[in-house]
Amino acid sequence: MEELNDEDIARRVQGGDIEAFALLAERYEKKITRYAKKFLSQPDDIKDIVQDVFIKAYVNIKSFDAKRKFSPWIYRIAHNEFVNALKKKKAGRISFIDFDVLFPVPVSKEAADGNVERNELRRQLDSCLEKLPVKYREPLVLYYFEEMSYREIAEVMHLPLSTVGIRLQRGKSLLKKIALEKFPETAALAGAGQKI
Amino acid sequence: MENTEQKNSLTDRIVAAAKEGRLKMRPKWHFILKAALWAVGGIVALLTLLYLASLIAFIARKTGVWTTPFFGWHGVMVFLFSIPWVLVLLVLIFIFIVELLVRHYSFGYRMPLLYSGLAILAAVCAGSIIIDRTPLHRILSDCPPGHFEGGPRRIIQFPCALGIYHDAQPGRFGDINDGVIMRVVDSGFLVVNRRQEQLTVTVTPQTKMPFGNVFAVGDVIVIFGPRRGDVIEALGVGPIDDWDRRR
Repeated sequence: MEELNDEDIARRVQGGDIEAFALLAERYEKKITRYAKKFLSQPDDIKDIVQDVFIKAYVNIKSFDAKRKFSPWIYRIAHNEFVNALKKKKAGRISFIDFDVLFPVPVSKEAADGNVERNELRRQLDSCLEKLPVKYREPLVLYYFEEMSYREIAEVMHLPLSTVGIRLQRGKSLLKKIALEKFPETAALAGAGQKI
Repeated sequence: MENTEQKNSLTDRIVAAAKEGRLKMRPKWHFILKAALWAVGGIVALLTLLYLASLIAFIARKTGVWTTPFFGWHGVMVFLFSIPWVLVLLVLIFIFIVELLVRHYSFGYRMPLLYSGLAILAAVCAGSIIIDRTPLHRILSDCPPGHFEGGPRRIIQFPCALGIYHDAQPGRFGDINDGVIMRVVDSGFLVVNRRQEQLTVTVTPQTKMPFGNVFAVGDVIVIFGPRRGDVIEALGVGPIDDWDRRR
């Protein structure tokens, strides 16, 4: 059972194997909790929200197409729950019409960040996440912490691929600005050629 | 340690609730029905949109309103006042609804809003032109072939459609007249309109004919200009693409 992939396990759950869902929940609980913490940045009711994600996943498991990847499917449920939580708390402004989605933008290729650069970005993201607008925060979290590809992020957020690219690019620039304001000492590092 | 306990408790809680029947999976048919409703909603919205857009095309063609901007600034003003704005507004609302429904599907949200919006607009323009070429609106508007000569001859009764098709009737717009040429005379034409009124159209060197000045008996034309009694002082004359009335 342990060797089965997520899609095979989901197929078993769909067939009525309740125990198999425990395995899926164990595989994803840590990831979804981390995603929630980074995205929502409000630790008080995160446990409840994550629990709701798994309850919804179980209730709607028969809508999952086992020929496709399970991970974007459960992240999509999580995304919806988190967006609803933000709306309830009015913690993040999520506009209906976004110019990034409205107009076509040239697709920026997936950045091939080195390990050191990636770790540095994660560190900065961790310390400045709250200051980033939601629309930039989420793709950055999915890309740098959940290690998703642009295509997977597009599936989770229901956005065009080009929009994911542009949001990551703008998010990184904004992060750089915020990090420099928050930690002026890193300006020296940035000036020495450390790219964000 | 605490993390493991928490993990187990969350998993255990959900599995226990599922086993006790407090948590139930939604059956497959629930999702099939939901998907079917989305699809049906999308199709209905798209068909309504095509109907409304083709109705605008029908009205513009039938009344010759679409030709008025070619007759100068006065014509542009008449055009702006004459196009059925309520229908245009409804078309815009339905484009928005169709756009929302399309973005539910991966082929919709994968492209920028502008592209999907333009794709819908292009499909609606092409669809409305095609539908306008079918007898649909002619039948619904109680204007079958021969109506012009033989008087009203209703094919199908659509009482609710009468209000809508009222827009397609002549005489609604100031300075826009239409008719079939009965005779070409030195000073212009003698035409007969849908009310079987015989009108004299006076053409002067100032009369604009942006689509050509060769007209023959039996042509359906739009005459742009003020009407005094049975005489229309033509500021502009153009053809109406009205195959239903052509003699």
